[in-house]
Amino acid sequence: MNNDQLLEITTEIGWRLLQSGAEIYRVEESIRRMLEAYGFPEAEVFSIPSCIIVTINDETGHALTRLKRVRGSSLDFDRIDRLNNLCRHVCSETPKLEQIRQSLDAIMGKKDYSFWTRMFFTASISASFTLFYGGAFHDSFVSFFIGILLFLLMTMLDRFHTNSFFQNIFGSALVAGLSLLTTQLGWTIHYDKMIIGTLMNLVPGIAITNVMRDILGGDLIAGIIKLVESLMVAAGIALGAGMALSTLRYLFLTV
Amino acid sequence: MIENIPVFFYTFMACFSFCFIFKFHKLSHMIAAAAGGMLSWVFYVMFSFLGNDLAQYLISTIIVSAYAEVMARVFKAPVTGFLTIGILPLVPGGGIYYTMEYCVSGETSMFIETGLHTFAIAGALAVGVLVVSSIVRLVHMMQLYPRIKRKLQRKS
Repeated sequence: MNNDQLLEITTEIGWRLLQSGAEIYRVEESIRRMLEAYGFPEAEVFSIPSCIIVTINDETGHALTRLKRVRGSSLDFDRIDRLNNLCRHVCSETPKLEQIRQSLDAIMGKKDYSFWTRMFFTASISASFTLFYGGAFHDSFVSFFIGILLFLLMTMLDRFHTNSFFQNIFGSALVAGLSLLTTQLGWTIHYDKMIIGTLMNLVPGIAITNVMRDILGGDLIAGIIKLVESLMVAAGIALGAGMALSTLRYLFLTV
Repeated sequence: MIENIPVFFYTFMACFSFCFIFKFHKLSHMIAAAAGGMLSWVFYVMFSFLGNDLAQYLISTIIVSAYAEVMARVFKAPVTGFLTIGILPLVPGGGIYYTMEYCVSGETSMFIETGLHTFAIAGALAVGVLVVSSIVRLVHMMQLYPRIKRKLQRKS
């Protein structure tokens, strides 16, 4: 067994976990356990939301280190679940490295939901949250289509690797502007409920659940990074909607 | 309670749709997570006799976090997914919006009031998650403790 390959594959599993939005302690714990199973009980792992560093000492005392940078993560529950199972399997069975590589490739190659499915459910989130916040039925109907437009805009901005702050500003400005316009045209009644409902698509960035879980696990740096990230998302949403609303009101609308 | 039943249905729908965005692939996981989202709102409404929405947020967060931990054990899946979905209906999206609205329209006192209230809600959610996670961790460590002790004794 090659130490370099072992280090590479374990770091990659951790990297994939982090990319799928797993908590920091889960990432560190998984890598440490796997290396322990292969006979490196003194492995050191350090991770923050944007990078992972793993070091092991081989038999001669020579230190091997691997650093992996993470750019952007989004919650992918199924992937975390599968990678977690893979880690458990690796720890208990210690299979050959080629086998781990194969299972990892199988997990990563699994098909994602299609463009249309994601579009439909983004729209459905907008519609149901509009109803939830007290909008009328035709408000939610219009929200459904605004949700589709929001999804298209976000996919397009994603394709050009725009930063998420800018994405949120743009997305929320689009939503706020369209909701206000449709109300002005008399198609809908509660533009505020529509805006809140449709913007719930962007809000999970503010999920403070992971922040608290990270801080609790002792990963204060990770917690602070995520906290700042969620504040930025909130600021972006507020800024975009605020700009769109005040501009439209200033220009010609009286709602 | 009766007049809120459609609202519970909308919450369920919204959380169920979010399962697709968060890439849940098993129907059983999706239903469990969406039921958690609905549950959080059911308990929020149920405790409305308290007359203090911060307490309502705190209590329903605690309940839904406990629910998420149970579901994670049942399905042997990470707790993050269930927790994130379960808490979604409680996220103060409205608070952020109205804060911004008051800011834009220049009503400074209302802006500060709503902003602080929104922050307080976020704090209540955070504390709720923290309480449950800490207790779960504590119980887990208490279960593990004999094993760790044995390991240490063997080493020395």
